[in-house]
Amino acid sequence: MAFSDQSKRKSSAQLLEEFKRQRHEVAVGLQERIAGLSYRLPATPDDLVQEIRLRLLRAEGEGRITSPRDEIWGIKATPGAHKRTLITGGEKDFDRDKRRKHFAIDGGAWFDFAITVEATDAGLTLYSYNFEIRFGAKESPSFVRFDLNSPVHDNAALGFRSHLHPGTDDWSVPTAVLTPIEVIDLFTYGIYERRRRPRTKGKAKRP
Amino acid sequence: MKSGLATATLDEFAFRLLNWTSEGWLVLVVADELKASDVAVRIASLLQALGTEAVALITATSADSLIHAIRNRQAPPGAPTVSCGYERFGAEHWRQLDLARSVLATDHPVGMVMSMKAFGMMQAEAPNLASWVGAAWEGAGVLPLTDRERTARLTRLRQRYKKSDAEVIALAKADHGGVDPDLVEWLILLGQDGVLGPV
Repeated sequence: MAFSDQSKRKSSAQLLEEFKRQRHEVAVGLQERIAGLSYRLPATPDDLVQEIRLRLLRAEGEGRITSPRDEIWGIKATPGAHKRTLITGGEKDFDRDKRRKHFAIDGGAWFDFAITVEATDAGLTLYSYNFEIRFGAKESPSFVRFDLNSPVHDNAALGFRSHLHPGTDDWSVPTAVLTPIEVIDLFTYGIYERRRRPRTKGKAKRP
Repeated sequence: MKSGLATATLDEFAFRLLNWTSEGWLVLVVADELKASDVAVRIASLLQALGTEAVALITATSADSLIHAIRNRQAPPGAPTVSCGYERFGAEHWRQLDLARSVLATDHPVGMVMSMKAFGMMQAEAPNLASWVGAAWEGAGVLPLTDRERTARLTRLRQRYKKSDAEVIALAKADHGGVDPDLVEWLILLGQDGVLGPV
């Protein structure tokens, strides 16, 4: 067989290097595709905050968000250097402690977020973000977090600049870059509906 | 601007307008360097984002045209109206509007977007109208984190990653700015995100 003959002529170190190169090419292709999708953001950070707040207020009006409106009006836009702005909703909460300020969803889940945007000649661009929705320690998964790393993070070359954590900080799954409104809609409508009508009840059955 | 008015962002004004059920129009005063008409268009679009299907946007050219437009509006009951164009009003227009105050009552909320100069003229030339207005705010930008909020976030970041500020800055420099979202936030809160690379 041609493949076997060719393999015999290469050392194991060469084969490993070749495999690494092929994996890197696949990862870069994935990264280019998921981070290269176009999206639309409002013109300014203030405009983006206003869109987010109104989306949450609308969800609040429809009973999906159960937090006091003050939490929604409390979304802040803090300027940084290099035309960057940090947009924060809820408190920083690594402990997943429901007593910290957050956005509560009807049904028991809650979330917060931090987004960094950068003004460029092409318009407002997402620089990085994290959105974490929590369902409670006894739920599975107990949380899901959408992360967008800064453009030159190590993960960028591995196809993971934009990823989600499915209930564990140790696992990341590549995902498309989502706009803040898309993530909020997913949290307040998509995941909300899915949790109301789960496809499985209790333990999944084997075929 | 130092008007003495309470401040409101455009989305706050849009939300209050949509939910306004009392008599009297609402006023948003914008900085003179901004175009009130641009702000009015933005508020109309924010009202639509709130789920309002019908929003009327009126550019007033005179007291008569404004009254006519308000009284003959073709929109569902309760749908809000956003009006602008008051910078063109002279003293006579305001006096005329002041006399016609009794016909300005509507079954839907009306917002007036105007410059500080126009607001001053309304107060001087149309005192009855000015006192009838439901509420007036000065337009403002979205607030940044307070010092206390900024400190609380930094404290949690330091506890979580067990690193000092100097270590995070050094890390970002060594990686040519490549950091995860928490560290981007950390650097911005320190005012040090200049070490990060561009998009």
